[in-house]
Amino acid sequence: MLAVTVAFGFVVALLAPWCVRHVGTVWGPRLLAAYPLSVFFLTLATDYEPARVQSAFDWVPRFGLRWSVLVDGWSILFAALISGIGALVVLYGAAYLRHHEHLGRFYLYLIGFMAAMLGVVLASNLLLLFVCWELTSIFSYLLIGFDHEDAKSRKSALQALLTTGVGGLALVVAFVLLRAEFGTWELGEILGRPFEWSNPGLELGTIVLLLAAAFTKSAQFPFHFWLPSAMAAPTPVSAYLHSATMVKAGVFLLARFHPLFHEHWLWQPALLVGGGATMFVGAALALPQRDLKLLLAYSTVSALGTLVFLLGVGNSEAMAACVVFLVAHALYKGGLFFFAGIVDHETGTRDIEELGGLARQWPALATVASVLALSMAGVMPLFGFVAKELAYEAVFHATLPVALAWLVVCSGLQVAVAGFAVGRPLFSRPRATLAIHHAPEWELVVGPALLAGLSVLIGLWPAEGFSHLLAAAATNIAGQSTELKLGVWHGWTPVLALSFGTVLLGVVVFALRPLWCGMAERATGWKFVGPASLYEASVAGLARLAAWQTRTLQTGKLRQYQVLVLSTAVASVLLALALTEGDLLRFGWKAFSPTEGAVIVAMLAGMAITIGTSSRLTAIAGLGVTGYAVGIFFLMFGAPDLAMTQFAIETLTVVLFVLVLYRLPRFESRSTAATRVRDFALATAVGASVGILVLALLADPTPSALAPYFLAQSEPAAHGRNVVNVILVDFRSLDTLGEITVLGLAAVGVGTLMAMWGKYR
Amino acid sequence: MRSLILLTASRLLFPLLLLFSAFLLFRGHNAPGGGFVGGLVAAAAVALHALAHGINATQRMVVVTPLKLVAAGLGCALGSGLFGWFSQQPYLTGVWVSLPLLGKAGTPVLFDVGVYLLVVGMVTHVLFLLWEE
Repeated sequence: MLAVTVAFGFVVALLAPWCVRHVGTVWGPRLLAAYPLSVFFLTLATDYEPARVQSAFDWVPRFGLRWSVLVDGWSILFAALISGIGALVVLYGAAYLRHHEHLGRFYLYLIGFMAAMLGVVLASNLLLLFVCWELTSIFSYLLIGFDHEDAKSRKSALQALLTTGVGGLALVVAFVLLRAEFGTWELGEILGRPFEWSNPGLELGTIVLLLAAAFTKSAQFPFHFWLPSAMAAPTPVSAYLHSATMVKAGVFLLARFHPLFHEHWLWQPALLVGGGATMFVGAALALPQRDLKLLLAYSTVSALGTLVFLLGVGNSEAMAACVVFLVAHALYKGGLFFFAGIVDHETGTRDIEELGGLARQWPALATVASVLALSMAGVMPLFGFVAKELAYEAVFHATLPVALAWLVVCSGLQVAVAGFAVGRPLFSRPRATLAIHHAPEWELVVGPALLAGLSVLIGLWPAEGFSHLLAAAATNIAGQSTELKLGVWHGWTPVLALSFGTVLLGVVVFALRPLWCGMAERATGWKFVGPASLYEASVAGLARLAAWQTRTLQTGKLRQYQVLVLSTAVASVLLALALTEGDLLRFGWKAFSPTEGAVIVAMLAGMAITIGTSSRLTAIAGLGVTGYAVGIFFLMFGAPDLAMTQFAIETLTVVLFVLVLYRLPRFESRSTAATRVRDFALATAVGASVGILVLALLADPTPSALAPYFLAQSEPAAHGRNVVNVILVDFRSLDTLGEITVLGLAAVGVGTLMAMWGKYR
Repeated sequence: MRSLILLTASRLLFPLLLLFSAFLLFRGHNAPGGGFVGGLVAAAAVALHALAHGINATQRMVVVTPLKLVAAGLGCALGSGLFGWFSQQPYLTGVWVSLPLLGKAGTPVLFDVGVYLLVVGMVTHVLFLLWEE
């Protein structure tokens, strides 16, 4: 059922442009929202215990590619998040981009992404997972570059695609290694049993590759730079892909494989260090930002770091905290991005230094945004507080004091970021320069309002079914039964003190904003050491390498191409001959008959005329003589098909050559003596090596198995007595198909060349 | 400069050459010939026509755009492979049927017709491009 739902999503995506065009820009998106909504309710209705694999249908049975889904708490939780927030984004996007000329295209990408993302989290078949994983990267590319007329958008889109694309390559190799070790593509079977790796190197390799895939996708340090750039996308996209769902795919993957690898020496330290670094770098880089979306993007990087960090802590409490924090973050950060979009949409700016006093204009929106920000800051009694408490408790019980301190510092920075993002635009003094176009429409506000409401509701009265789902998800990724109790009040514990300390720290950091901005200004000179500049340098280096090799090899001079191609051919033939053992030239010399002698003389005479003449026309005639003589040879040795073709070709070649002659400049000898010597040497080498090659082939005593087969099967199997033709159109028709395709392309190419020649003449 | 002899000869030869090219094409499966050489002969007929009557007259006579011939030929060849594919065999597997009057017909013949069309189209296209009055 769920597998079909995912596949159906791609159909909905393809229908989206049609829907928007014919149903309208108001009701079209509302109709499209029915898809994520129905998926959402379907996931809620799905029984996720016990974990099981459902197979829908074979896609490519030969490669073991099946549409099979793994239904358990972890995948259902993600599917619910993707479809639930997805429905809100679809509605929000309609109001946000109502007058955009490519609204239909937007929904094609968005719904397509949704289906792909559902595929990533639900897939049991690793190949299906990989296909969907790559599709999310591609849709993300298309959505970031949605304003494709803007060069910055295009550049950011490419950056995201290349960074996550490298991760995708790592992922496919990791999956192939898993397949080789486990003998199955089904995730359900791989995770479901205790396993001893046959080779520790293989396990290590798989782990490193999985880490690479997840770290690039989830923007972990040092690959974090693509996520802030991705803010070039329309804000609904940032809210959805680059905060709530896609960037969590890496976390999803790591958690998925956690039960399999958590005992490996590399796994938890790598997650702890990588996540910890990301957590700090993201939060610290967020502090001096002025752009509301960049601020939120860096804080998302930090939150992703926290999730990975919690996986690295690794006890079952940390797993539960990770699950809870993931949901809490999706709710408040998705909502805050919605808020950022509204501010941008209604005021035309996202610069928090220019924004102020919005609370008086829009009290309802201000309430919503404040709730979301307080949840982000982890203030009692909101859902964000619950999540943070659980995280602190898990690290506290794991007795990692340094990690705990680190987490508290980073959370404190996040509190300040929440203040910058919402407190300043809403509550600082109103700016006279700020032009407010109009009040936000209800469709823009309903999304964040719902998310804020959920943040309050879950914080105060967590529903039984919801905690149960979270506990099941935590159990799945911890690999052991995990208890989870959601609640605001845990008593007077040291963790509660830490929570208060965090908020205090946040207030101090908030007050010191000028200091952070000044530090950032002084640090701009050091940008060249950052990973983003490394990316820039490597992309630019690749472009320079390509330019260099094009300049060197593709000079546009026909002569040089010939020299290159021919000398390569000579070198490879000579190399092959040198490496072949045995006497190559074991052929019997035989005296030729007078007729054969006459043909040979004609051939040589044609050649001599071609080389010696000073007129192009004569040279062509000489070539024709040689060609016809070759044709006669074919005829004498029993190849009438070849001979006929040779004659026809020679005739047409002469005609075409004469036509070309008219267009060439006057025939004169411009080559220097050195060039002539080089050309002579090369021509001789080509002739000699091809000659030797042919003789060596003839001397090869191994009988061909193909020739007797073709001769025997031509009539009975292929209904033709002319073996040559049967080979061409039946036995080896794929070769012929390739050749005639080249011929057709050559025809188009000649047309293009002639058109350009007319232009540049 | 128009040569009367060439003009007269071409009137006679042009249809004959085309007929000959078709003959080559269809006999190719059992005797020397085939789509490739047939196509070349047909293209040579076009070239002869152009020599005798001038390229403009030839261009008026050839009503099909040569590139369309190329496309049609490629389409024929690609399409001929689908028959085998649809009958659950590898792409391009030959499929033969016995027809009442004509004898046996098979997809390789269609493939060869594709080669023929493509070669005629390609050479004619280049001729038309290069040939200026």
